Amino acid sequence: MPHPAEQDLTELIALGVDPALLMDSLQLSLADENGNILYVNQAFCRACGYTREELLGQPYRLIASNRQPPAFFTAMWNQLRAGAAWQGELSNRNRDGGEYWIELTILPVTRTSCAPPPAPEGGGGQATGTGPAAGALPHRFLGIGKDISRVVSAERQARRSAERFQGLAETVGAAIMLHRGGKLLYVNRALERCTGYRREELLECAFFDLVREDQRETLRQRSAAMLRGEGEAEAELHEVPILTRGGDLRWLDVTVVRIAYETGHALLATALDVTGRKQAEAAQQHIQQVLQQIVQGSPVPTFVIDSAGVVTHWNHACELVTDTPASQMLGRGAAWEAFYEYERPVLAELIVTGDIERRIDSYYHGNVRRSPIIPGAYEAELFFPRSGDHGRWLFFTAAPLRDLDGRIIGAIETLVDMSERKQAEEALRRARAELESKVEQRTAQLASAKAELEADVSRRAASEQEALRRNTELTELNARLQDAQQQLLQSEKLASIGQLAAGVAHEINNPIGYVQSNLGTLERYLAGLGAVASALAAAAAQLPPEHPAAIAARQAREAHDYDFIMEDLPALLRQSREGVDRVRKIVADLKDFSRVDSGQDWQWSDLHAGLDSTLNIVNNEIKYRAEVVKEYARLPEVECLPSQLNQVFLNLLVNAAHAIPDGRMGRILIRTGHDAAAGKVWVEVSDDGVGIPPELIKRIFDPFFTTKPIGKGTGLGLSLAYGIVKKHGGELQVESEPGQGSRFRVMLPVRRGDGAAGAA
Amino acid sequence: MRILLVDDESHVLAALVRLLRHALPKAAQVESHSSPRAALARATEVPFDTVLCDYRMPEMDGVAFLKAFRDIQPQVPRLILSGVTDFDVLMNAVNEVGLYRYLIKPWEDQEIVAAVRDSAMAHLREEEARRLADERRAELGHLSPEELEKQRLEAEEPGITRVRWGPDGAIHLDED
Repeated sequence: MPHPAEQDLTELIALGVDPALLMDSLQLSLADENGNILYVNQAFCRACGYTREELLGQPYRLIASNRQPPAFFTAMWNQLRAGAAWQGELSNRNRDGGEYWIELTILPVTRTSCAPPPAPEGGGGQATGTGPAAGALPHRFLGIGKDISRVVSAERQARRSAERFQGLAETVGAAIMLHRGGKLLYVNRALERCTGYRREELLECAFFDLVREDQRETLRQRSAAMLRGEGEAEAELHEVPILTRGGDLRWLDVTVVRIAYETGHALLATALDVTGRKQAEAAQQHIQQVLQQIVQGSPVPTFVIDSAGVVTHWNHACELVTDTPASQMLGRGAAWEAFYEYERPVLAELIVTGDIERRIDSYYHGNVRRSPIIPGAYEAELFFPRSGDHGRWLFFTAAPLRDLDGRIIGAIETLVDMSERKQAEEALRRARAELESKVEQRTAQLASAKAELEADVSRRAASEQEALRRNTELTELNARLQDAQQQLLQSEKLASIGQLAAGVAHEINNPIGYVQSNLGTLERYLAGLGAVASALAAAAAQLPPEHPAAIAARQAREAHDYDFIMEDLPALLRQSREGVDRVRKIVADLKDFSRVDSGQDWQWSDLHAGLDSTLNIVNNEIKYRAEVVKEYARLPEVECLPSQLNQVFLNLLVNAAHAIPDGRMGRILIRTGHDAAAGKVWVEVSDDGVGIPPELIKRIFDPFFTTKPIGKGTGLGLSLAYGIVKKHGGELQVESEPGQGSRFRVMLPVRRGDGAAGAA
Repeated sequence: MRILLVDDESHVLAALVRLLRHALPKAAQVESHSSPRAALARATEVPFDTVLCDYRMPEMDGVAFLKAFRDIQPQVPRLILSGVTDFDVLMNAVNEVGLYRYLIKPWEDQEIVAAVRDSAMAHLREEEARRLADERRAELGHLSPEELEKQRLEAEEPGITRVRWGPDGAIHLDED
């Protein structure tokens, strides 16, 4: 680089400027071979702030600013000592610490030559010099300095900004490149990173080589046009797909400006790697598509707005429920039109604007709430009287749509027509109320039914008890009925016997009547005959014995055994009377026994009479088997059914007779007794017969139980007797010992009903 | 003293006749019939002082007979002698015909004799008293000649003075 001072000085001297004055503007110094200062002029002193005296003998280090490293000075001195001049810019520090820049030329002075070497043709800030004179070492060094602080400051700023640019360019994330349509003139590190190529490789190729083939030509032409200055002066933005060294596709957002560069123009391009964004965009587009499909295909009425409130989706279901076609809504920020008659933000818009919490009450009056499911979402339920035929209940759910960074980029809102559900709810509520009342009613019914049931159960239990009791009663009754039936049978038998007996008695009574009467007459007649015979005998006695009449009378008396006849007649008559009397009595007893003429009424009766008449009837059964012994006590009359008691006695007597084995006369004892204290009488019939085995004694009162051969007994006798005695409130007891005989005892209360407690 | 006995069994009648012939005064006439109808026919001819009949008879029972007899000779005491001892029969007999006595077969002779004699004697006394009273009334002019004649005829032929009207207005001349 040509030094301005050199030019200035030469030009100035040539123009006749005083060299001393000129020299005074230069900072001159002289140093010995060691670099210690031998001489300084005024300018030097002014510049550094030291006095000449302070500077003499001192090395230059005194004013060094240390901006240049020691190596810089080492190199400089090496050059100087080698005899070559050094020219460069130095930063010095004055006495006050302030820095000042000088353009310094140091000339080595040898003993033989003092001529200054020719200045180098150009160069930067670094020392250059011509070689020293050969063979001689410099022993003095002349320094000529010119204050260049201002220049340096400007330069430095320029350089600094260049450096800063460079540093910036290297450090920014954006790729930077400079080109003139051909090879890249400059690339920064970011381009390396995003292309995968190294800087050296990049500087060997054109920008277009990186671009994907389909865009390459377009871009080349565009760049050429820019370079020619066509089109607008503003920066152009391109979205450029490039291929990395690895063959991957990356998207760059390239901003190109045309700048003046060196002798012409260049294109400075900055490129941002937007592959991520591009991918995100693609993904978003995809998502948008999916969203579109989802939203459009959803049966749930749904619309979507973007962050500006513009409706981006309005699905078919939404069209139906709002009666508003998508064409009317899409692309406009007027979602409210579908719902309200005046402009107001919809729920989604409130979400998008972010001030939902603040404004919600003014629009929804507490009908809105945070969604319990979706974060950031809100729900509202409103009635729209304008919608549908009878208005609609709509349930809104609006949720924010966020990008990857969480910013709200829109909102989606769904509406559910709740009308049916509301109606259903209402119906349900009514139904539930109804149900509740029904349940209440049923509960009450149930309670009463339960009470009834319980009552019923207890009634049933009671009736079961009752039924059981009845059953028992019935069983007993049945048994009694059977007894009664048998008794009736027997009674009927007896009744018919009684009727028969009555008829028979009547028939018998006639002959008895006249036989008996005739016997009386006969007796009288005989008495008469006897008297006549006696008179005749007395008359005959008057005749002589040989008188034929006397003889005839005597013969007749002898022939007919007259004396015996007369003697026997009374007995004959008496016996005939007896016989007739017995017949009469039997007939009377038979009638008595059957009592057909006196019914079945309870009456006070003499048991002995009953016993005797019964004995009379069964005498035929007994008289050939046993002797009957009566041991009657004094008995009061007993209130009873006499004919039935007679049956009891009959059975006991017949059984007693039958108990006596054939071939021997037994003995039947009939005893009676009266227990006045107990109000009871008893009749006992005992025999000395075969007796009853113990195992059978329990069964003898059972109906149809009999030990007699078929045809001889019905097996009903004792059973009937037992029933009759029970009916009288009495007891029928039996004692028996096999081989010794049996004793039956009938205990009866004197007064009817008195013995019920003692009934066995 | 005239006694009428009716029983379908002749032996009974014979025995009773024997008994009464002996027991009653000689003047007593005991008439017996085994047919109630014959007895009733006889009753229209002859006045009796007492009547005794059986209860159970083939033509009619004792009660029916006595009712018929009462129509002919109302004042005559009526007795039944029967083997039937049914309370109902007995009560019916007493209530329907106004029995003097109900006697039971077989009988005690003395009972029969006493009952028959007493009833006949009672009737005779009543008849005598009435006759005396009538005579007295006739003497006093209380009894008309027609009435006297009527009584005479009635004594001769009992029932002749009474017309027996049937329910259809016919006049019954005979029992049948």
